[in-house]
Amino acid sequence: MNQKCYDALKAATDDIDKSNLPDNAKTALRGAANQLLFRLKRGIDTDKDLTQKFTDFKKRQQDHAKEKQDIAKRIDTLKGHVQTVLATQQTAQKQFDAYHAAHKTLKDQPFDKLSECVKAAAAGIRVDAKI
Amino acid sequence: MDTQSIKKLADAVKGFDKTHLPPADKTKLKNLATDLAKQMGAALAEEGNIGNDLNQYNADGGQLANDRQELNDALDTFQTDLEHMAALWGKLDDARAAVEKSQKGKPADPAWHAFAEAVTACDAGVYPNMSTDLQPLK
Repeated sequence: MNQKCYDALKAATDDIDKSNLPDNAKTALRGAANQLLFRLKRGIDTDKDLTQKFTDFKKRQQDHAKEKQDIAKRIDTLKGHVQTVLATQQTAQKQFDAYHAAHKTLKDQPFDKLSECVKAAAAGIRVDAKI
Repeated sequence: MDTQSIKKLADAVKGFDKTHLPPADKTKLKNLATDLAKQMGAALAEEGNIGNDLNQYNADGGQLANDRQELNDALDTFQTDLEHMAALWGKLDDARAAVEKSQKGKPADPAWHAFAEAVTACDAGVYPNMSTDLQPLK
């Protein structure tokens, strides 16, 4: 949309008053030109406003798409981390089983409890998040 | 992931100090369990954060869909307004032509000519350029 053209038409419309046209022609032309100027001004403002809003919206869409990528990466990272946790659990479990076998006579309740908790915790590990 | 399991594991690690295992073995096993509890805690926290961010992401997606609809509706309204403006251009140009015809043979009027030129320039240059950059959002 062209602000310069609007300004030229507005100046020319104002100058109709100084022209030598018959009064009825002046009135008719000014009326039509003013209606058009009003619409043109509103159109220029709407065009600017919509253009800005469209730009902002596209930026938000891009940010949203990036957010999706970031979350997908974080889910992948978390899944990798869970694999590490499970590997740690398996290592711990092997050690516990070995010590349990070697120290059967101790019958320590805290030891048994710890071993059970490691098994239970490993069973509860999962990643449900999806995007 | 399970908060309860981590809490039980942490409690069991505390109780482990009371075992009669040799100190070196006790330390080694305790460290393994502690490390596991830490790793699980970190994974659980990150899972919670991701869950929150996913909720926000989905809410943003819903808001974007609403805003896109509103903007496309606004564009439709604007284009309708432009069509009305095109009709006004036609009326103004008809009026200008009628006055020009009635003025034929009379001395030149600078104000009138400036007006006639401005109408012609706007008609030729402004309207076709209106909103050509705006396309419906997808």
